[in-house]
Formats: sequence, structure tokens, C-alpha cells
Amino acid sequence: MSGSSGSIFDPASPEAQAITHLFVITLWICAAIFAVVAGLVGYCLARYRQREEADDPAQTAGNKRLEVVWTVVPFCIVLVLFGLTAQAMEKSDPAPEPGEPDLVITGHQWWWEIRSPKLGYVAANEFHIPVGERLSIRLDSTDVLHEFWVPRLTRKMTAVPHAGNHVWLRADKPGVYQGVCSEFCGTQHAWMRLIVVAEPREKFDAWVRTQQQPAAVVTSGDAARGRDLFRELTCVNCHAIQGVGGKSNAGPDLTHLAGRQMLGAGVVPNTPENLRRWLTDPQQIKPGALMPNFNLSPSRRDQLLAYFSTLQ
Amino acid sequence: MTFTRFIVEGWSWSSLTLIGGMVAAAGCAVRSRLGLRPGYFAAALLLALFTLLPPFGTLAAGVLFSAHMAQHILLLVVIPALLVLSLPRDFTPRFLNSGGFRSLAWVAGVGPMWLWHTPALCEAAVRQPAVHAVQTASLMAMGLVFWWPVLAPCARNRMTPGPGIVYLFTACLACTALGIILTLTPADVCPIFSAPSSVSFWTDLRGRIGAEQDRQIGGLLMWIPMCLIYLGAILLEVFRWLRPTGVTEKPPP
Amino acid sequence: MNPSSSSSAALTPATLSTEERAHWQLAWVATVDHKRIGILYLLFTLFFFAVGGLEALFIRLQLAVPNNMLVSPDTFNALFTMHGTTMIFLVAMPAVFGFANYFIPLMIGARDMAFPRLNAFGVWLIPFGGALLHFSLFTGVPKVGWFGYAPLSESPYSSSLGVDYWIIALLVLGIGSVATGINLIATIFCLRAPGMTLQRLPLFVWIMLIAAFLVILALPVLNAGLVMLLMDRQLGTHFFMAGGGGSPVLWQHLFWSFGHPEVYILALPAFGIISEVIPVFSRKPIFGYEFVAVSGVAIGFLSFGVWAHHMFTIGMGRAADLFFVIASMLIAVPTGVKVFNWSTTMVRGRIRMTVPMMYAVAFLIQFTIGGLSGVTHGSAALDWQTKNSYFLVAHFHYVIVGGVLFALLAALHYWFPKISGRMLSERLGRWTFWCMTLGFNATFLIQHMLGFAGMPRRVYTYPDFENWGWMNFLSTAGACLMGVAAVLLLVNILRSLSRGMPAGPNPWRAWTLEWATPSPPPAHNFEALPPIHSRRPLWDLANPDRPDPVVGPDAISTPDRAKTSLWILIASEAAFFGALLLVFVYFNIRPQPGPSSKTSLHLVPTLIFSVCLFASSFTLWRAEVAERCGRHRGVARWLGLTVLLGAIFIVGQGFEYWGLYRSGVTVGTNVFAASFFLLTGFHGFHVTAGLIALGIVLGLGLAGDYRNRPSPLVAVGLYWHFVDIVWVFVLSIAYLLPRLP
Repeated sequence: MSGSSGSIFDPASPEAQAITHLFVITLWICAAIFAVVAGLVGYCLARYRQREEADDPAQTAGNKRLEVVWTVVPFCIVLVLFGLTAQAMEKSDPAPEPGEPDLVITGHQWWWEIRSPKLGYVAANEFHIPVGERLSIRLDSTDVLHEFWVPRLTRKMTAVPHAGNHVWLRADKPGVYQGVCSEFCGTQHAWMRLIVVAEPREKFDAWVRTQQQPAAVVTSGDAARGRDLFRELTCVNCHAIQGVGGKSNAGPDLTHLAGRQMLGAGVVPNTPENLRRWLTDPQQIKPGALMPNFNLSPSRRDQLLAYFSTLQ
Repeated sequence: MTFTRFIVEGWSWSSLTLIGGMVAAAGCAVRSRLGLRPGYFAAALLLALFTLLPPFGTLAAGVLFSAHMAQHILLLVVIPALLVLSLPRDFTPRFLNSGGFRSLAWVAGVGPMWLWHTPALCEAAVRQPAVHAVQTASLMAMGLVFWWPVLAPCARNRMTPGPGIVYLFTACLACTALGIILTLTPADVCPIFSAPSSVSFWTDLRGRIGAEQDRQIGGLLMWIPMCLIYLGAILLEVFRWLRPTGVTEKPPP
Repeated sequence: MNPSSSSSAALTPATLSTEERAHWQLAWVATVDHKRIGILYLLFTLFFFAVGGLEALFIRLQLAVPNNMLVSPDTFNALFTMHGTTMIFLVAMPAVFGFANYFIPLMIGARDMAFPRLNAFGVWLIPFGGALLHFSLFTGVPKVGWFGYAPLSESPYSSSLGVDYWIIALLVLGIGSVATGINLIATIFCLRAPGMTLQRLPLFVWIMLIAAFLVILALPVLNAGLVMLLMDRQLGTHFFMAGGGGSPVLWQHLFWSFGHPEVYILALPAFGIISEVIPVFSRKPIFGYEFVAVSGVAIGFLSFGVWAHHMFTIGMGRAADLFFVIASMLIAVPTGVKVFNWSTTMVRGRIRMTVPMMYAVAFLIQFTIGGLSGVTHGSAALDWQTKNSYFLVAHFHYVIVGGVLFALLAALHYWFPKISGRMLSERLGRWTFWCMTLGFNATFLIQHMLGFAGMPRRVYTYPDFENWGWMNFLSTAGACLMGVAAVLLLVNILRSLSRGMPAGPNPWRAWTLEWATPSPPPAHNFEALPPIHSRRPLWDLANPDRPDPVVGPDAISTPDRAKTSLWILIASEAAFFGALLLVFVYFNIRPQPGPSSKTSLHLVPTLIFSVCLFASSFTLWRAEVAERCGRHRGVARWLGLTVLLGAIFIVGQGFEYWGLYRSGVTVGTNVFAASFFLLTGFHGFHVTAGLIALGIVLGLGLAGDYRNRPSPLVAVGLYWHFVDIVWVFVLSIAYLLPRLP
């Protein structure tokens, strides 16, 4: 996979913009301070370096006025930065509004569950948002600490079990935004990535309508046998497919699996070949993932694969 | 409109009495030829007026817990420190120098914060002006006692730096502990601030800040700014002590 | 080849006496001499530096290219956990302690540390702790990061014993550090030479004094947290599990209220080293001695009030975030003061660019970068983007490696001639310096960019995003260059030990007392001390025509060693109990489901036992009075009564525990029970320790041991009174306060 990760200096929402703005100012201030220190040190080295032995110079021990200057000036800079910080915090993370959030995003070891209480859909590791609309998001975790971070869109925030932390999410431009879990959460912390797709309202509505549908109905062939296998084997213990079976959210909801870009929370692109490899042995692709190798026979595996490819 | 009300609301006869009292105190101080240092003394008086009069005084009296806390910090720490600093150099009462007095002074500087934040007393002080007056007076008096061994005008009356640092640092720890409890736990030391107030205008301000956050700010105020004041005093102690005198001071024979 | 044995063998001729050479192994193992202990510290450091460095290299090799599979994810996670833990607890802290051990007694003109045997105990806890930590290799290495965030570090998510070994190793190392901290403080307070008043201390000593205070106050808080985590894992409590009424956030509070002072436990000694090196090679006194010292004090105090800036994304609330922003940013002010003072020291100097000075200058530049990027983490809004990214990794490596490690290397090159009696090679030193500096900056400067590009820390691999590949590769290349530098450094040291030029007592023409004795110093340190009237006694000696200004009076007051150390121990213990008391309040301020203080604790019997404990303080005081008057039988009688009363208290507490157990309240019942047993259990443990100490004093007293020498009754008594005072707090917070209406 290649492509841009998205830099925090390329913000795509007012919330992220506020932080970037502050960052640029801060970096300039820091650069100025650094220039003063490095300049002073460099000047001393150039001017006062002694290559052969010489007498000791005049022994000056300090200067009170200078000390006051370089205490007070940094103090004032700190106060200014503090004021700017407070402002940026207010802009990038206004207080949450009472009421139900638009999305509940739950961290699991090692994938994201996205639930919309208002629109009633469930997604995993990937979701769409309407361009220009500010969504309120509650973060939750079922196990350890995770951290929600979409650098171009919003601040990062830890998902603490039972705490219900809040972030705002918005994108001003259509596009695909990369996100990731940034708090170390165990073996496969590296592959707990997230994709946010921002698109115009009507396309978003269409996506929501797809997500709200139960799984596509299949009646015959490998796909139907695959569906039955999904019900009969242990799949339903962890995964759910709306309209087919399974209630657990221990693993990602698979109702619209085929519509996703990536498998395993970002580890490989979602192609039939990769899905086959995944079903053959998930541990080969994402070692340590909580889904074990079920040693499926090739025929059963292909039947499941056939069924999953219908889950648009 | 609201700004005007912000300034105007809450004034009463007692405020005017207070101003009168302060002016009288200032007059007496000037006439008595104590030799007060006018800058510090004036700053203390003005700060006291700001602390006790509306609008800040009203905020502190039953509206915002954080303002109430800020009022305590000003009364217990800032204003007494300024008052002690305003004393003339030759002001050296003798009884104030014993070790016993110092441990008492420490308790005086730390105790009131804990004492006045037991729920019953806190509530009483907000509801009854008389209790509030006692509270104000006791905070100021205790503050004076606390600062004496640190800021006394004559070096003879001050603690040596070692004990001085311990004195101030432990005071900082004591208020930190209370601050941590107020900030990080759901402790409600002064329930009156989370109940609806009688002063209608202010309630929406409190609504906007939120009772929870208000209490947190109160705790944080006594945790961080208050400790910064003590820390400032510590740095002053160390600094005064390290300054090279330049000329040799003969050790006492 | 074991570096420790070969180097110590090589050091033999210089540091061991003729009769010791026959059994030099014993001379090193059984030593209580501060100089040898200092060397031992440094050798352990060197060994663990190699271990932690190799771990770092493997981390970087795994990250060299995207989607790499050189090591498995679990191995990678174990590598960075061990790397962090090793570098902080087994490299940086021992290195600091090593230099402090060797040079503080020399710099203040003392014969040894205040407690040589305690010193030996401290140094041997390092390999012991290191062994415990690495014993986890056999049981499953911890994979939780060096700050072991709960609930990942709890047994449901880390079921192997690795985390338990990690906890126990940190406890062992923590206890050793506190012992060393107490020893350093007692040494500085009690063993200064005549004329060496506190106002005249070399800045390294001054700043180490502050750092030692941070050690004794911060580590107990970590110990409290670690004990709670161990209880969670082994005894079934739920301190840090959100499910059982506990709080994962509390772990972060406890860890970082240690962790942030810890940063300054490492950084302050570095400041001290730089404050010695820069003046010597600029041939001028430090600019603004008072300001460097006072800003050290300011940093020390502030460091205790800013830990929550590690938690800006945990959801503390706007108010808390803002207060910690300003407190954190304020630290930049005293730090800036230091940087300006160091830089200005060079102005109008005669700068000699020796290897130590080169490291010091690199420190100045790199530490400034690390400090400035620290300000961006202090600003919560920026932290919301950069936290847990590679920008953060770059920041703290600029502070810990670019700052602390470079300062330690400056110290090594500066003091090596004193330790070994031989000069290091300047030429090889320059090569090492440039490899180290280029390698370091290549490794970590680019990581700032990676952070901006959204790369989170602690990932074992990463997708092939635009630019990520080459930036990571560059970083890995830099790390390899640092590895080369480390090898060159080792070569330089080994070469110099056998072939280096003899150093003479004062090769750098420095001004502090350690240079007033031969290199290496004799066992008793000094034949005769020069007169001390200013901050640079050797300057005065060399320049009688223009001596430094005399600072303050010559008279010094050195307090009693035993009492001083006990007071410091008490301060440390108070920090520990303070943490436990706050934990109790945190969990019990609102009623929890299940048993609580009101429903389960019986006040009356406890009050009776408490009266016994308080009475024991009175009887002990009577014993002290009797001793002062020389009434030996009175001492025995009152002391016996004290032990009896203390024993009654312990038995009473045992009954209370038994009653609770019978009514089904055990440590795993709920957080009330857990925090109650934690608090009273540790208090009981301290009472028992006090009883044993009193019992020993009593026994020895009865045996007539104190006829001819002073008894330690006053010191032990101090401890006992402290334990009683703690009970006042426990009683009021655990028993009385919950009963208030």
C-alpha cells in the first residue's frame, strides 16, 4: 500500500486547523529562541575558542540585570503561549453537548467498532461522514486503553473503559482520512488503523442506507453453503451478520465486509486473495490477533469466501 | 446590560461599611507614624477591597466555589504576605521568635483551609454574614501569623533557609493534598455551591461553568497557584541565602 | 569477555593496595569504599547500556523498512518495554549515582559517604534488580511499555509472570535508589569539610542534593503504585480495573507523579555536570551561580506539580488541563535561565574544545531542542496531536539521550582521568563524539517529521505511506552510527586503561576539591585539604593575587548523621503513606457498593488499641528522658512498656483483620476493602519493623551494650513517633471521617 498518511500540518477541519495554527506560531517562537541560544553558543565558539594555552580571562561571575531579563522574557512568552493554547483548546475541542452522540466508537484489541445510535448501523475500522458536518463522538473501550487519532481531522483522545470520553469529528473536504490507535494496547497495536471517508451528503446518505440494510440474501451455491457454515461453525461466537446470525461484538461485524477497503484493521487490502489468506490463517497476516487459525478445509474456506464476497 | 448588572449587583450597606472601615484603617496607619511601606500596604488594602466587595465578593458568597476558593487564597496567603512586607524594618516584637511559635504559625497557615472546608462550616460561612466575617478575620489573622517567620522585616526574626524551606514546602503539600482531593475525587465539601442560589442573575454563569468544573477549578486553584506562591517564597529564601555578600562577614566569636 | 571483570582487573593496579591484589575479586565485591562503589555503579551501567543499546538497535532494525517481519510483534513489544525500563532504571539512574558516589565526597572534602555499608547495599541492588527484570526472559517478558499502563498490565491482558518480575525488579531498584538518595543527602549535610558551607558547594553537589530529594520523595509514590498493581495481579484486588470499581486513570496519576520528577532526577544531575564542565573549559566561573542553583530548586519543586501533562488525552476536563498547561510551561522558565547562564559563561572565556567540552556544547544545543519540543507537549492543544507519536519519541530522546546521555559522556571524559589516573585519547574521543552526535541527530531529528506525518509510537511495523520508509531508514542508519560510537567509546576506555597518558592530579586545571588529590585518589581521599573560603578553592590556591569573593562565613554546621538520615527516611516514608492515604480517600469519598468503613469497621476496639499506640509514644519519650538522665533501668522499663503497648496494637489489628475475614471482607471484596488493607497493612508492617528495632535496642541495652557508646534510641524513637503520627492520619481518615454526618 502506498499513499499519503496525512500530516497534522495539512488539517481538513476547523478543529484540527486550530491546533495547526497554534503549532505554526509555537514553532516560530521556538525557532527564534533556538536561534538565540544556538547563535550565542556558535558566536562564543567562533570568537573565544583558544587553540593554545593562554592566561585565564577576567572572572566575571554574573549580572543581575541580565538574569532578570532572561527570566521575565521567557515568562512573558509562556503567558502568551498559555493564552493561545487556551484559545486553541476551546476552538478545537468545545464542550460536548448533552444528548446522544452521533457515533459511539469502541476500541477492541485490535480493531475499532463504530456504532451509530441515531442511524442504527454498525461498522468496523472504516466509516463515512458527511462533509462539513460536525459529529459528536463518544469513545469507549471493551478491554484496555486505546486512543483515537485522525491527525488531519481532530485531536486525539483516549478510549478509557466506562469513561465515555468525547471528541468532535468533522471534515471540510471530501477525502479519505487515515486514523490509528495511538495508545499502546498490546500485541497488534500497530495494526489498529482506522479510515474515515468524508463525502458529500447524498453519497453519505447512500452509504448509510447500505449500512442499514441486513446482509445480502443468498439462496444457492457456494455462497449459501458459506452462510450456513458461518452459522454452524464458531464464527457466530465472535462475529455478527445482521439478518443471518451472531450477536457478539467480540470481533468486527461482517454484514458489509466486502465493502471495506482493508482487512484486519489496516494490515492488508481487502482483496479476495487476501481474504482467502486471512481465512486460511489469520495469524500469518496479523500474528497475535485474537482470531485463531481454525484450520478450515479448503472447500469450506472457499464457501465462506464466496459468501463473504456477497456482503457488499 | 449584563455587564452593568455584573458590576452593580450585590452592593449593600455592609460593603459601604467595609470601604469605610478600610479607609479609616488606612488613615490610622498613615497617622500613627508606624512607618509602613506605602506600596505594599496600599496593595494589600486594595486587594482586600477587591476580594470582599462585589462583584468578586458576591461570586464568592454562594455562587462559584472557585471564586470562594480564590477569596480564601487571597485572604490567607496573598494579602497577609503583603501586610507583613509592609511592616517597617524596626518592627520586631519579641514573643514572635520562638520555635514553638513557628510550629503554631505553620498550623495557623494551613489549618484554616482544611477547617473552613468542612461541609458544615463552609455552608455556615456562606449563609450567615456573621460567620463569614469571622472567617474573613480569622483567615487574615492566621495568614499574618503564618508569614511572620518567613517575611518578617528584620532578618533576625526570620527562619534560617533550611527550616524555612521545610516550613513552606510542607505547607504547600498540605494544600496540595486538599487540592488533589477536590480536583480528582467527587468530594463535595461545600454543597451549597451545587444547590440553586438565591441570587438569580449569577445562576446562569454557574450553569455555564458547571458545578463539577467549578469545584475542580476550586481544587486546582488551591493546588497549583497556591503552591506557586509558596514556591516563590522558597526561591526567595534560597536566593537571599546564596547571594555572595562580597565582603567577609566575620563569624560570631 | 565479561566487560565488568576485565575492566576491574585492569583497574586493579591503580586502585587496589598491594595486599588486596592477591584477592582482588573480594576487594571489589566486599568493598564499602565510595570510589570503588562508584566504579561498580559505572561498570553495571556500562553493561546494561550495552543490553539496552542492543535492544534499541533491534527496534530500529525492525522499523528500518515498512511491513518488516524481522522480529515478531510480541518480541518487538518486549524489546521496547525492556529498552525503556533498562535505560531509565539500570543505566541512567545508576550512572548518575555512580558519578555522585565517586565525586560528591571528593568535592565536599569528605573521607567517604555517610553510610558506606548502606552504599554497598544500594549498588548491589542494581544487578539484583537487573537480574530479576531479566529473569522474566524465562517466564514471558513484560510487553506493556515502560510505564505499564493499566489495564494492559493487569492479569487479564498480560497473564504471564513477566509483569510481576518487572514490578518486583522496579520495587527492588526503587528501594535501592531511596537508600542511595538518603545516603547522598546525609553525606552532603553531615560530612562537609571545614569551610565547605552549603553556599559554597560546587553546583554539581548542589544540584545532586536537589535530585536526591526528588529521589526520596518520588520513588515511594511509584512503589505505592507498583504494590497496588502487584496486589491486583496476585491478590485479586481491582485498584486499576474499571470493572471492579477501580480506575485505570489512577495508575497514570500514581505513575506520572513519580514519572515526571524522575525526568528531573535524570536531568538535574546532567545540569550539574554541565555546570562543572563548561566553566572549567571556558576558564571562567559559572555565570550566575545563585541563579543556576535557585532555578534548580524551582525545577525540583515544579516537577512535582506537573505530572498530569502526561495525561492531556485521558479526559481530565478543561479546567485541569489548563492548570497543568501553565504549570508545565512554567518549568521552561527556570530551565531557560540555566541554558542562558551556561551559554553566557562562555562569553569572553578562553574556550578549550576538549572532548568533555564538545559533549557539553552538544548537550546545550540538543537539550535546547528537547526543551523547546517539551514546551509543545506542555501546551495541551499541541499535545492532543503530538502525544504518543514519533514527535514525542524524538522529544524525550532529545532530553534523555541528547541531554542526559551527552552530559554523562561529558562527565565520563571529564572525570575519567581522576578515576583511572590516565587520560582518554582525545583523537579517538573526537571520532566517538562526531559518530555519536551525527548518529544521534540522524536517528531522532527525522522522527519529529514522522510524528507530524502521523506515525504513532510503539508500533512494530507500519504501512508503506509516502515518505515514511526513507525517514525510518535514515533513523535506523543513525542508530547504527550510534552503535559504532558506543564501540569506539569502549575501545577508548580499554585502551586508555593500559596505555593512556598519566593524568596527574589536575589535568584540566579545574577548581573543585576532587582535583586537589592524586589521580586516582588514595583510599582516604585527601592528605590535606586546601583552605576553603569561596566556591572555587583551587582557583584561590592557584591565583592568590585575585581570589574569588568570599561567600558567607566560614563556620559550618554539620548535623548528626543518624538523626539526619532518619528525618530523610521519614520524609520518604511520609510520601509513601501520603500516596496510600490519598488512594484511600480517592476510592472511599463516595460510598462504594459492598462493605464500607461505616458498615465493616468497629470504632471502639480500634480506639482502644489506638490509645495503646499513642501511649507507647509517651512511654518512649519517658525512656528517652531516662536515658538522657543516665537511668539505665528506667530506660529498660519504659522501653519494655513501649514494646508491650506496640505489641498490643499489632495484636489488636490482627483481631480486627480476623473479624473482617470472618465476616467475608477480604482484600478482593471491593476497593474499600483493598484500600483499607493496603493502608493499615503497610502501617502494621511499619509498626512491626519499629517493634523489632525497639526490641533490638532493648535487648542490647539489657545486655549492657550501651554502657560505653551512645544508643540509637533517639533515632529509632524518631521512627516510632513517626509511625504513631501516621496512625493519627489513618485513624481519622479510615475510621473517623466516614462516620461524620
